[in-house]
Order: sequence, then structure tokens, then C-alpha cells
Amino acid sequence: MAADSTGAAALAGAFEAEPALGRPRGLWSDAWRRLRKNRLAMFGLAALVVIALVAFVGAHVEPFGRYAPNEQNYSAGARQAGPSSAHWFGTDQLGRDLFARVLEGVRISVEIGLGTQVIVLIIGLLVGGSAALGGRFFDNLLMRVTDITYAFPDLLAIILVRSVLVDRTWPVVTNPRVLIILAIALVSWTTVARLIRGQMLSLAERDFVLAARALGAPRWRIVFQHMLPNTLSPVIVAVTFGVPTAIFAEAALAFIGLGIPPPAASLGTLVSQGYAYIENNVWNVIFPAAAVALLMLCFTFVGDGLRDALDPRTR
Amino acid sequence: MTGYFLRRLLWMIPILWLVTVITFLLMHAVQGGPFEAGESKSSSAARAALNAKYHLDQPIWTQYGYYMRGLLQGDLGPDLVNQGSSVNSLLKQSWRPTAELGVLTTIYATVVGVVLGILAAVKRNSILDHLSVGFATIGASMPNFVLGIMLVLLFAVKFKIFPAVGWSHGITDWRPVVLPVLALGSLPAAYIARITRASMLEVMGQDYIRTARAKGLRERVIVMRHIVRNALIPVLTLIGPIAAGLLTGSFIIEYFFSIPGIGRAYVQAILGRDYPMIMATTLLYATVIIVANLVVDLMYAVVDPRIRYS
Repeated sequence: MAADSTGAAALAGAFEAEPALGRPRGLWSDAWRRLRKNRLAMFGLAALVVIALVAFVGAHVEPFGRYAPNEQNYSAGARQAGPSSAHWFGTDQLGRDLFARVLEGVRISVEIGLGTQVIVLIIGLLVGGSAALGGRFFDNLLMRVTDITYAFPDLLAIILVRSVLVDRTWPVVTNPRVLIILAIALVSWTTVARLIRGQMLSLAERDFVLAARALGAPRWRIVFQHMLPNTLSPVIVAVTFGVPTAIFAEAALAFIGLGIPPPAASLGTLVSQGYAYIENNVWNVIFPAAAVALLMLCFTFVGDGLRDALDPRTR
Repeated sequence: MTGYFLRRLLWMIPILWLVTVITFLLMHAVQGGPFEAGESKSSSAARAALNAKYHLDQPIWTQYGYYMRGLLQGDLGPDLVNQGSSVNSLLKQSWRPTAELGVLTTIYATVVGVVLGILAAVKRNSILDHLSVGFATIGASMPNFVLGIMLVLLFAVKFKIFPAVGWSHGITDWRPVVLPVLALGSLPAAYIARITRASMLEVMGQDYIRTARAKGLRERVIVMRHIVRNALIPVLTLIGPIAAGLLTGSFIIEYFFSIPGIGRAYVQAILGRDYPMIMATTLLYATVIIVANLVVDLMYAVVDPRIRYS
């Protein structure tokens, strides 16, 4: 019933001279409405906000930021301690506060997860867009390039690209986090590029694009105003699922010792170090491992929710 | 149809050739070489001799020519890190654990995933459904090495049922296999369960299922003959890429459980700049992935007659 009355209001609004009267409900507000109803997605979103606040802001505030991640303490009983009121997650083999180290690891994982997807999105838009709009030559080129990148096993290709970029004096890649972000992004952009190409190609045949062209809209306007916004929803979903994948890739690299150099430690490094001392202190593995799993879980929940919200047909 | 697949088969040749070119360029762009000062204790004269012996002192395209000439004759080159042995003999030793791990894990993931997915869909909204959806969600976001650690803590450290490292030496020696398969296969099992459940639910809403019910068929017949058969088509096509991913993506698990497979050898090869070994493993993996994708397309056409390739 409610939907009917708002539909009627929207219809009435469409005939008003002032379009502001009939509060138009677009794709995004509809999607947000559906997303809000999805309990798991909202849980994931809320958990991510809390985690981000604690990890990025809270780390500068008491009591979360009491210890620096690299503050060592060799006094008796300070090393390999279990959880306590002073050290919530316990301490590691050098007496460092594990809570502070896990927060640092979360910061690194989130930065790498999001940073990777920013680069993936940029490359994907450029390559996918030019393949769809740039004519047959570009299109064939892109499809052959993605054919070849699909033939490489992902994680092994990431290791190879990382090895190429490491120890260079090139301007950007001297930052170890940027290095990892680039290595992952340069291997995983093809899915998004293919998605954008496919969307663009199918949109180009749709009636509303034909209508815009018939009205004499310039090409750039058709692309940016009519086609690009309509490619976004599957791309947003793909990018959201890309975040946990990138977090996993980084953790896997760090786990085998190819991550960010010490003293900074990502969650994968913490897991691998904790595993080395597992006989002395189990908590050194459990907390960082739980943190990786929780991060990936939250992003997966949000991705699931976004997919259902942005494309109700797939439910 | 046949023409399409012949073309795809022929298309493998240029793709694999490009894989060799790209891998060759990338790995030679990695700084350092296999015989660097500091990494081995040899004198500079000995290093120069080794570099000359393996043509590493020559321009990269000459080296590529030497490599391709060997490759086309089935010679994958010398093993630079372990002097005296060849990549061929190394692969001959290490392919078996990787293949066994990959095949067993694929079977485990498929059986568990399909069964869970079917049960969850048939008993929708029951405890069983919630449990398997929960398993699928958590399994899908648990990194395999984290799962591996938890399994080792529980079954190797605490209960001492299964060993924490090593690999089987034969069919009766099955204990070392269990934990790696569980660690590697649970994520794809969860994924298969999700897809199976969604596909089952979609088929259950179709008109022909209502017709079958209206005819008064027994529920078991409806489920097994009408629903499951149709619902498994998308799942069947997933198994190809999943098997390829498991065969080529097992190196973290191989590393963690000290399984003497190809994945572990690849990581060691990159760290040691063992060029022929990097080339061989990448080519092998690329072939597996391409063939798996081809098989998937072929299966699509076999199970769903509506699909026609041209």
C-alpha cells in the first residue's frame, strides 16, 4: 500500500512544474532502503565502522593507544603474556602489546584492501571503457590481454610482480604498502575491466541510450551521464568483494614472509610470527587470525548486501 | 561446434607462447640473479663461470632463444639452485603431491558443497539450512592458512590425531592428507554450497516443478530427478575453475604443511631466482588453467543443449 501511495505521489510529482516537490526516489535511495533491511549487511557495515574508528582514530586516544605497536618490554613476565587488563590481547615474544600490533595490522590490511580496489577501479574503468567505446581494435586487444592474465595463477603472479617491483628506487614503490597494493592491483584488474566492458556494450544497445542519441546528445554526455552510472552497480559489488580478496592476498604474502618489512607488521605477518611461538602463547595466533577473518567476513557481508540491494532480481 | 573447440585449442598455442614471453621478461626484471654474491659463497670467477655456463651473461633475447629451443624439445632446463639436477626431474618428484592434493580437495569440496547446498535448499529455513548457510558464510571469509592453523592446533597439537606436517607416501598412509585437504577445500566447499542452494531454490520455483507436484509424483522423485538434475548445471561448470584454482593455488597450504609439491618449489624458485623453475611451473599452471576453462565451456554445451558455440 505504502509503495502504491508513494508511486502515485511520484507520478503526480512528475506532472508538477517543480520537480523538487515529489521527492524522486532514485536507484541509490532505493538500494539504500533495501540495504538497511539486510541485517547481516548492516552488522558488517557497523562492525567495519567501529573497527575503522578504533584502528585509525582510537589508536591515538586512551585507552586504545596506550602502547606503541613497537614498544618492547623485556622485564620479567612481560613477554608472551596472556590477555590481561593491562594488555587486552596479551604480549608477544618481545613484550610488545598485541592489541596495538593487531590495530596496526588492521590499518595495513584495510589500507591495502581499499587501495588495491581504487587502483583496480581506475584501470578497470580506463581499459574496460576504452574497449567498449574505442572500436574493435581496442576491444580485441583488451580481450586478448585478459585471456592471458586469466592464464596466470593469481597469487603466484602477485608474488612475481612484487619481486619485480621490490628493492627499486622508483618514486612510488619505495613505500612498501604502495608496493603491495600495486602488485595485487596489477594482477587483479581484469575482472572489473571485463565487467565494465560487458555492461557498456549491452547498455549501448538499450533504448534509453538510443533515445539520448536520437535527441542529439553529444557522445561524452551519453557516456558519462547515461551509461557510466548504469554500469556502476555491478562494479560496486565486484569492488566490494575485491576488498576481502586483496586482504587475503596480502595476508598470504605476509604469511610466507613476502609482506611489509618489519617493524611494521600486517595481520598475515602477525599470524605467521605467532605460529612460530605457538607452544609458548596461543593468543599470539588467535587474535590476529580472528582479526583477518572478521575483516574479510564484514566486507563479504556488505558485498552480499550490496549485491541484493543493487540488483533485486538476483535474490 | 567442433570447429569452435578446435579454434580454442589452437588459440592455446599463442596464449602459452605469450605466457612464456611475459614470464621471461618479468622474472629477468627481478633484481639480482641466481648466482649473486652473498647468497652463495662462491668466488666472483666461479660466479662468472656459472653465468657463462647457463648463458646468463648474454642478452635476454639470446637467453630466451636458448630457453625456447630447449622447451620445444621437452627440456625445461637445468635447476640453477640445486646444481646438477634438472627441472624435469624436480617436477617429476613434486607434481604428485600437488596433483593428489588438488584432486582430493576438489572431490571433498564438491561432495560436501553439493550435499550441504541440497540439504539446505530442501529443508529451507530449518536449523540445517541456517547451519549450512552459516558454514558457507564463515568458510567463505576464512583465509585457508588461518583455517590450517586452527585445524593443526586442534587435531595435531591438542588431540594428536593427525600430523601437522608432511605428505602421504601411499594409499594406506592417509593421515597426513586430512588436514591439508580440509584447510584448502573448505572455502570452495562453502562457495559450492552457496551456489547449489541458490540454484536449487531457483529451480524449485519453476513451473515444471509445480507440474511434477500436480502429477502427484513422490517428493523424493521430484527432488532427485527434477530439481537436483537441473540445479546442478551451474554447479558443474563451477568445478572446472575451482579445480584449476585448487591445483594452482595450493602453495600456501603446501608451504604451511611442508608438502613437497610444485607450489612450494615455485616460491623457493622465485626467492632463489631459479629462472628455469619459475618458467616451468608458470607454464604448467597456465596450461592447467586454460584446459580447465576449455573443459568448462565444453561441459556447458554438453549439459545444456540450448547453448551453441560458433
